[in-house]
Amino acid sequence: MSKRKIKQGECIFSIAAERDVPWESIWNHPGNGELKQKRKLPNVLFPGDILFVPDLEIKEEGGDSEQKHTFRKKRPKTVLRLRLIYDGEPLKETKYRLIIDGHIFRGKTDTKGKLEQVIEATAREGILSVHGDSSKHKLLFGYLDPVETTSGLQARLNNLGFDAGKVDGDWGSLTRAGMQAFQLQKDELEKSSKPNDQTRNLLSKEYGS
Amino acid sequence: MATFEHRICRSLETDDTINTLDFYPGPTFAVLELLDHKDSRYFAKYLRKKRWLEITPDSHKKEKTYYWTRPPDDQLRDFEDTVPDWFYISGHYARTAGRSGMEGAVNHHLPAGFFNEPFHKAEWKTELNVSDSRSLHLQTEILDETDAREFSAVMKKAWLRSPYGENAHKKLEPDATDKDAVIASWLNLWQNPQDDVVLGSHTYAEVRGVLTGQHWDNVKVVMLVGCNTLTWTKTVFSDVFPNALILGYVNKNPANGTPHIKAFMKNLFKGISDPRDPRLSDHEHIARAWMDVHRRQRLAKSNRMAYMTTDRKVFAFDENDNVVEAGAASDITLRFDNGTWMFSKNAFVVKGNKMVRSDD
Repeated sequence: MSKRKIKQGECIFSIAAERDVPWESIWNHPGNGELKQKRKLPNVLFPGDILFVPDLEIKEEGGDSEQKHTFRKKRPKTVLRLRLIYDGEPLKETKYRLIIDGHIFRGKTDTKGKLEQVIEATAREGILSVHGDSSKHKLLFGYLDPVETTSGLQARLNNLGFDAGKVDGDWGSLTRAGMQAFQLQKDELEKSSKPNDQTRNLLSKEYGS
Repeated sequence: MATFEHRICRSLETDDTINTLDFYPGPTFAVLELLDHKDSRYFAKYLRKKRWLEITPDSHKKEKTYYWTRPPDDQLRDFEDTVPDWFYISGHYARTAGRSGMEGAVNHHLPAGFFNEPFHKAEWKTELNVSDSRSLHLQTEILDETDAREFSAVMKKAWLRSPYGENAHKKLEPDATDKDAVIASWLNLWQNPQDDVVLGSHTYAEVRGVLTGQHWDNVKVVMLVGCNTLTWTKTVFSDVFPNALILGYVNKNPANGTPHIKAFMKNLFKGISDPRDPRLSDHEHIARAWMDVHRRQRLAKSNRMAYMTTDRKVFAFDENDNVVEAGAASDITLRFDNGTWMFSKNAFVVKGNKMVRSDD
């Protein structure tokens, strides 16, 4: 078993793929109990988190000599799931183009504006273009920090259209303005100058993770 | 083309882990600057700071795009595909042109628009070729026949600057040598137009049809920063931007419009930090912020500020500094410095295939 310090862009899926270990065996490892409790979701870790990664288990398979045997290795895949909206309304049945590691994926969002695409667990970046929108959207997979962190708050606010400034982890006036704009839009939220649990929870729920 | 960056996570197999992305970038704006960049640069800088998205074509972001240099012919065409929420258009402003067979075109002529100085001169020369040999065209929009001093000043300016103006008086009085006498006779003609000699104050847009060849239904606000932008050709702008509040002037704007823009932005954003605040698309709030530049800040020439609503009504200050309805898009709306008004659909008439000032 080895200890692994999480870097930006990594999550359980990418590490599992890299180490040829099922992600569940990492996440459910007793050594990661505390981390599991703290982060809740295996797909959202924070740089600096310590992860215990179990060693590969050696498995023996019997087979006749002088014979050809075929072994199939599972390539772990993960799912990219996006809900696309424009100013609060879902982008329904809208054509999109996604470029990841040189592969082009084309498709159409569903009636709720959802896009679902199976991607490599090790993929780090993608470019998304949507019909009718001249902008390009750079997607950084695995870069979303936990909502408890300032950078996680900034990224979610930005993705939801509340400009919180650069995702740098620094709590500044732009981030505060973005958070307060979010609070203003949600009647149930208490208005505050610093993020509270109520705001974080609703933000996480609205964002989807 | 804007590029946005989203930090997202990979999703779990369960449906409740999903990344939500809102593609609405907040309000957008574009700047078409044809002369002095100070005001528009301030405007753009301020809005960028307020986290608005600038979608001005890259070719127009250069500081000296049009100032004393003629742009590439197709450069303005970049704007055809630019549909911002706010459109800032600034420069010399051209009212309509009078040409043969254009009766009633004063407030409807499509090529009307903005231009810069050098191109204006080129257009001036062109116009000489098609004009009646006895006609004279002035680079002015001063039409107050009672203001002889202003008229004379403009005439002298035209005389000195324009290659046409230098020799134009010879057409009227071939033997005249005394400039003051010639100007006096021109003034008399101006006040008493005749069929055989025509004075017109015709100016032309730099590139024709760019802003008028289409309808921008999605533009919410248009700022027309130039002289008399809400005096002439208002129908053109109300047709092109049917859903926009149009902010402009009913007389000359200041040579440096920056103080007006600064005060307006301050009024507009007072108490607002969210770029998506609904007040920023509320025409009533925006118009109030514009007119407050005069009501609150009392800046020079701010009493000439005006706006046109989507129902094609123009509002401006009266002599008591009250905001009043000052005509409709189809009117010629002139505001004089003494606070008096002239509204007329027939400020000009066509006589002998020439546009002349009417007597009514």
